[in-house]
Amino acid sequence: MAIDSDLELMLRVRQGDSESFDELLRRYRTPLVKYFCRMVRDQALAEDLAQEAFLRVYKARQRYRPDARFTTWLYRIATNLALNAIRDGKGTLYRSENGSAEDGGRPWDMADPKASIEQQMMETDRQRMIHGAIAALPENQRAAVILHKYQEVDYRQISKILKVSESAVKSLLFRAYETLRVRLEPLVREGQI
Amino acid sequence: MKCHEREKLFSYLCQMVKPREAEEVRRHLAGCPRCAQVVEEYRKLDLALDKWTAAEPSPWFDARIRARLAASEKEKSGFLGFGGLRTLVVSVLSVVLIVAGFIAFHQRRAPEQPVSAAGSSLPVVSQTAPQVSGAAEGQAQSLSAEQRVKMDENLSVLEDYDMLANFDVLSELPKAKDN
Repeated sequence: MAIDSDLELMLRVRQGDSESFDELLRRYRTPLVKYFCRMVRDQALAEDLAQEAFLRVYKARQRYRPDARFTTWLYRIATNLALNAIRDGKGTLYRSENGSAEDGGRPWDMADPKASIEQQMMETDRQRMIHGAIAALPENQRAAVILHKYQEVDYRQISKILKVSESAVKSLLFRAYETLRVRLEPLVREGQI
Repeated sequence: MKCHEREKLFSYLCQMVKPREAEEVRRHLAGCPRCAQVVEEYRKLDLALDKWTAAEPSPWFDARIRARLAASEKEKSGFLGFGGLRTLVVSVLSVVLIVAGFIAFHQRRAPEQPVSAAGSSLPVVSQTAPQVSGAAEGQAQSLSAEQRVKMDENLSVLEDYDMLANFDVLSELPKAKDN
């Protein structure tokens, strides 16, 4: 059985096919929730935002034009929602002056359950430091890093999602990685990462 | 390539450079331990970022989104119901206003029309009609003083718009035609 493309599914959703919407939901609920988790770092808020994003997709189904990838459209909606949530102060609970995490850990800071307690603590600390550094990045850099690194979105798509040029995306990513490299230098030098 | 071109190093690591540039970067890295170190640090950083895990959606995610969709649809249909009624009321009011405006417009114009329409065919009116019709207006200028006095005498009749607008009065005009 041939797997329908996102575009085909979305066109059917536009015609009122709820099963196609369910299929899109199945395909993208996990990536979208993870994207929001990384952007706002609050699972309850991430799930709310992911639901809101799907709701907006469904409400705007009649306006969907198949001239761009479905994921570009979806992540543009998602990114706008995430950035608005951050601007409203909903996703900044973990940002601190030194860029370290201060929320006492979250369910998604999952250390390996087979590791020893000491290893788990080290892993948690390491992740907190990395997460804090990413959280301290400017909004667009953070979104670009997460889209590129975790959502596997290509530069062209990122440029459309963030409404910037492709060269600007490369520049955003470079500046983000340069900042992270400097901020996490102690860990890099000690060979902890 | 120069050492300060760090963005090129990063682009090379992310495979965002053209083959010719990639070769240039490779040659530079072979002879520059400092830049090779930077690239290595980018690699380590990238590996570390790979380890950043995020939670899966909760088991009730689908149920919640379906509930929200259902609520949204219900709200939409409710809104549409109200919107439909509102559209109907607005449409009816618009039609009423247009019809009322049309009637009012014609009621205002009605007294003038019989004069101009009858002016050319009715002798009685035609004596006074020159005031109204454009062609007769020119003739009125060349009227004698006596004719002008007659016109003034008939002015009260011309000004009686209600009488002129009355169809019954006009229906008597054929008799005047006979005269």
